[in-house]
Amino acid sequence: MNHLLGSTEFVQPKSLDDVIKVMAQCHTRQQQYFLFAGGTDLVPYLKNYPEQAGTLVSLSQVQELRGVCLDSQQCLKIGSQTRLAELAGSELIRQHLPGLAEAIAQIASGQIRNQATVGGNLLVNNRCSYFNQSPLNRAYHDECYKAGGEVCHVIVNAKRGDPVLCRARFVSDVAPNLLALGARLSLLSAKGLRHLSLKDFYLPDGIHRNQLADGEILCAIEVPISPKRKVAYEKLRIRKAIDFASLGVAVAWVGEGQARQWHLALTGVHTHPISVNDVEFDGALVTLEKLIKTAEHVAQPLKQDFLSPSYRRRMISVLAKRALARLAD
Amino acid sequence: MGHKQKISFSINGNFWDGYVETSWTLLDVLREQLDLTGTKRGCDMGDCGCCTVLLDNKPVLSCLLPALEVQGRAVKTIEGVASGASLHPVQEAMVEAGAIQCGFCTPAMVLQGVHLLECNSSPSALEIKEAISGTICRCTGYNKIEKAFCLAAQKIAEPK
Amino acid sequence: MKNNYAVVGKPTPALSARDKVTGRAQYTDDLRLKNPLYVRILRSRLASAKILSVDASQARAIEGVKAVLVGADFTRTFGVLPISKDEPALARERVRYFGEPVAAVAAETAEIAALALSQIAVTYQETPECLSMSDGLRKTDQPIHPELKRENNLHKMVKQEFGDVEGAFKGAPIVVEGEFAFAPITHGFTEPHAVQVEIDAEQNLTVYSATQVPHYVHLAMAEVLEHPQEKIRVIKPHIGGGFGGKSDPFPHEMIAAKIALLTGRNTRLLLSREEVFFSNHGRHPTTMNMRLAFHPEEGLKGLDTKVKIDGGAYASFGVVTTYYNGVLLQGPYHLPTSSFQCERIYTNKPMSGAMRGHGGVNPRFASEVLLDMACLEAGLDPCETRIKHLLKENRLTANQFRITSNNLSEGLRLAKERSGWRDKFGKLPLGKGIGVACGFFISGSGLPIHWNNLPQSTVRLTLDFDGLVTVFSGASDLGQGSDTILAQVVGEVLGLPLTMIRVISADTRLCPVDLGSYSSRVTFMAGNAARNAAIRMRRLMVEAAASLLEILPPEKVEPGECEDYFRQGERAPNFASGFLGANPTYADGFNFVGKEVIAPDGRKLKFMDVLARALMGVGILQTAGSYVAPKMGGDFKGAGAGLSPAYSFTGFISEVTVDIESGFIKVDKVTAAHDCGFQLNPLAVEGQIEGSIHMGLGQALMEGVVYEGGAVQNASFLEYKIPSPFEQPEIDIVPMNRPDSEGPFGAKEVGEGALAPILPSVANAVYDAVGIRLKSLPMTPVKVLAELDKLKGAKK
Repeated sequence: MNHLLGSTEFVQPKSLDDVIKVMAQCHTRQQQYFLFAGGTDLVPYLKNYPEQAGTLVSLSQVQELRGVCLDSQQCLKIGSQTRLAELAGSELIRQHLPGLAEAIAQIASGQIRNQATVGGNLLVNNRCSYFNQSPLNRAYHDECYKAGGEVCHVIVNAKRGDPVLCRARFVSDVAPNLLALGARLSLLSAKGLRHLSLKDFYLPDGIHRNQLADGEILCAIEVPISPKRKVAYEKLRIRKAIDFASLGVAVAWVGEGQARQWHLALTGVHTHPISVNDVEFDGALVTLEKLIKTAEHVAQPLKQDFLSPSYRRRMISVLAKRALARLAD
Repeated sequence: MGHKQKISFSINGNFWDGYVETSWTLLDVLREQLDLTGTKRGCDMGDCGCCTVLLDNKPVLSCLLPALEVQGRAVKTIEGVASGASLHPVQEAMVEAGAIQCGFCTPAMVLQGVHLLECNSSPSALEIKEAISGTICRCTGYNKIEKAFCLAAQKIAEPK
Repeated sequence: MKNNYAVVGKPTPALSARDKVTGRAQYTDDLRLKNPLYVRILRSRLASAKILSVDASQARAIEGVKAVLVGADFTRTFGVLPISKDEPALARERVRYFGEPVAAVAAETAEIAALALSQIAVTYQETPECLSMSDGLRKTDQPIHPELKRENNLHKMVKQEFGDVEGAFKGAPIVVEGEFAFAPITHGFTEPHAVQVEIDAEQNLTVYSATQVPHYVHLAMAEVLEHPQEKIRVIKPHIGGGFGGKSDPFPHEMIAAKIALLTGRNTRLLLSREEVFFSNHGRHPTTMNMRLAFHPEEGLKGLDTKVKIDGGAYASFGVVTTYYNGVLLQGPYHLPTSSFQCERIYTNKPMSGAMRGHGGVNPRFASEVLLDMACLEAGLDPCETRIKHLLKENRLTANQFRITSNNLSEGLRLAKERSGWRDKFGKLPLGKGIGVACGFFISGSGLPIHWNNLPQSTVRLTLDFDGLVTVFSGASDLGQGSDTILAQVVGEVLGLPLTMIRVISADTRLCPVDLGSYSSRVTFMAGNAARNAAIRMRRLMVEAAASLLEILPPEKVEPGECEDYFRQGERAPNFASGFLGANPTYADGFNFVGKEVIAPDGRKLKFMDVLARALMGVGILQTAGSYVAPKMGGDFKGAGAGLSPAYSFTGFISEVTVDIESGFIKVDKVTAAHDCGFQLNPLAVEGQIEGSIHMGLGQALMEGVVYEGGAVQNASFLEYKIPSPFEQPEIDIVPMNRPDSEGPFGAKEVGEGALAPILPSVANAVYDAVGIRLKSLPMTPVKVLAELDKLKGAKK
């Protein structure tokens, strides 16, 4: 055996209330905790960072966090601990958001989709070829900011105090789809429940990645649905299995004809997902072109991936148009 | 180090309970504690798929699963696939089709095949590729594994 | 091909298949020795440094730690080639690559070992890193290997020239050339390196190791540990792939054994996937300049090649690789003149070594792309041109390789037909293309690594009272199916089904020496040895049968060593010396079939009755057979490199789709012709071809070890891109089954030769599809788009 999890404690609360309590206890005891959803991102991290000991708080027994339902306001409510495979296989999703099911089918592998959850995917850690490394590799290059060190190997003159310190890239495949569909999140902590649009959730830094507070948990995702709302996703990756997105492009529309609204969202090319929508209506392709231009302008692919930054930028419009073609089918 | 917690779960249809290290994955417990070495440690990071087992009948990567997470659940490993001396049709087909070379990914591939054919009795070529694409095989180029799954589907449809 | 074989030639599932498919097959780390110590290795965080001190006092003080080893605990270096034993088990004085073993810990549990590892303090003094081949050729006063007493980091330089090359280029109507570059490739076997060592009270070591070469591990370990050879036994359990990556003796084997000797305890060591990347021994990163002189009617006139290969920190098989980059260009076409120069350069990176298709894959890519360019320039069909200029049988090449059999012209013609080449080549719409490439490969090296008088392979057989034949062979079955081949060969000679045959292999105590599973040698060499042993066993049975039938036994024909056999381009099968080659008939006139022995006069005896007679007074029947390659080759320096008793020939036709917007190349279909002589086990032959295509496509399209400085940045199966099933094409293997004159039943190799041609066949298909010539591997979408942009720019 070579890799062991460094964590010292493992708890499996049965209810959301208990989860909140455990988090509060850890806080009081000044003990680090990790909310354990599917573990497919967390476990490799813990194996690479054996010094990160703490309490693993498993969410697998919290039934209220699982499942998909249709609430009265024409909105799908997805429990954050719904496994990706369950979500893609859900009748409600297949009926109302088939594009989302197709996008999920492009994530990692069948095994991982049976383990990973939708909440975990939205919160998946940003990746960088200097951060996702063993202790030995990090000792060669020196620990980067995200790993707890004092250097960035991607932006060499980055320094503490910069508005964006870490350029590790955002890689969730689910996020761009849910962004394009206008999803909202419900977050629970001891202070109570709050709702946040997914668009406002992510932060521009690769370390402080989102608005989830200490002691807070992502409970559910609400996605508005209507027969006129559709999404399609194109993923750029070397292999058609296993790999993270070098770039992911989701294109969605809502409404029809002159009133059609467009939404474009990207993953893999920035520290956070990029989301652009347009309420103007000057004809489909023209509008999308404009969105693509905006997204290309915002995107900041860097040298954190096998495929070069300029190539990934170039592929934004190619993939967006392919997604559009799929939408129109 | 040295923190143990008690769990119980079903392994290949048998009840098991005992203490496991909180820092151990299911793969560690299977191989080091239960001596079920048919489940392979290829990368230990969730990339190669060789440690695949069925958890409540679904393929998962045991190297990414803390052992304590299987409390009260049913685990099936390659050792639980054949019934006695008679091989499962997927196993028979893998043997006949020459789908096995070094054999290190074979247990994972067999479990994927068993799962696939339980869900889908006549999978398409694409569905078969999808089913095995989470496990790396460096020997066969996958062609014969795909062939074996087709053959297994036939065997299940028309038992001898 | 019609024959009367009962066992060989039939699609045969591997003997181990049932054990593997049920999870019973035991791989090294699956074994459970009594109360082992867990061993872990501390690795260098630097690529180039002096080791000032290693302080393990805190680690030693931890309860449960039983031993800590440092470099000074080993006095001798090792290496697979006797001429370049430059690798220490643990770094002494200096580290030469990132990830090099520096110290090792043995403890009662894996957890304690991990903890102890973190308590070892190594003080380094950093020294300049040499990370590129151009760096390595620069003058330095701090070479990586000072013992070579060189002023730079050149490890080995080879130059060879055959014929008047410059004359050929001057007279050639067409000359094409190119500069090629190849990323570092690693084997990607799924089972990490693993070793377990069992020790007894007499200091006898039983080493269970995931190795392709138990014999070489045995020899190296005796030397490194300064422990008597007879006290070391190396066993290879089931092994999860090798592909050349487990064909050297390794530091972890020395470490685990040394700790067993020091502590008297069993030891267990498993490398992590990341450590496997540090151990590497993969395909050398390469740059290459090649020129081809071509004549539209006469074919290839001359080939001039200059190669640089990046050896990393140690020698491994590097000297052989240096030669193979040149000599494996001598086929598959008639090539009257050629010259090559290859330099292997040490750098501060994990060492390169042998990988499937050893040394032949990269130059094959370059030469086949150039040949494609020459054909198009001459307005010739690349497929027909290749067929026309293939090496003829029973000839010598310019560097005196003997070509015994070459059936590729028939195979490629068939592939051309089945792929629909005529209607596709040059005629497909933009983005779709078809391309062809060929190759050839050795069926085992004609010369052994260690110069001694042992045969290259020996097989021992026993036939016991129950009728069971046990085959003892040192060859390592890595999953390619060599155990099955040996059983088939023996079964065929003795008329027994495989259920009556067991194979015990890769155990240096029980099995006679076989050099190991590398250079695609086992089917040919161990197969011939097994066949000879079986023929001798058959003789014992024939004599017993004759005695039962009260007739005189037929005149004895001994399977010989084929000394006088076909040497200098003249075919001279010598049946008098008993070398039977591919001849399926036996000189004894008996027929062994279906557990019966049929005499020349037609009388039938039960196999078991004959056996009972044969065992009278002796108790067990035992025979041995061996294989020694015939004397071959020219009389010049380096003539031995690439010599083989037989060569396989391969031709692939690949069909691709190039996505001109994204640059992705998808290989849709490969029509494959591989001449491995007689197919002993067609199921295994197909498996080797399909697997070779998979591995070759990885190198062609996506694989590459990424270094940043001296550190491997993608030491995982997530970031080192081994193709998934979605990237594997449909494969049509054309039937080819013509026996070679010297292989066992006419068989030649199939494990390695079928890899190289896939890379250039795809590159040539990409040219057919979109008009770009890619000369740098892997052919990533980024490079494809860059070339397409250039093409567009040129057209404007």
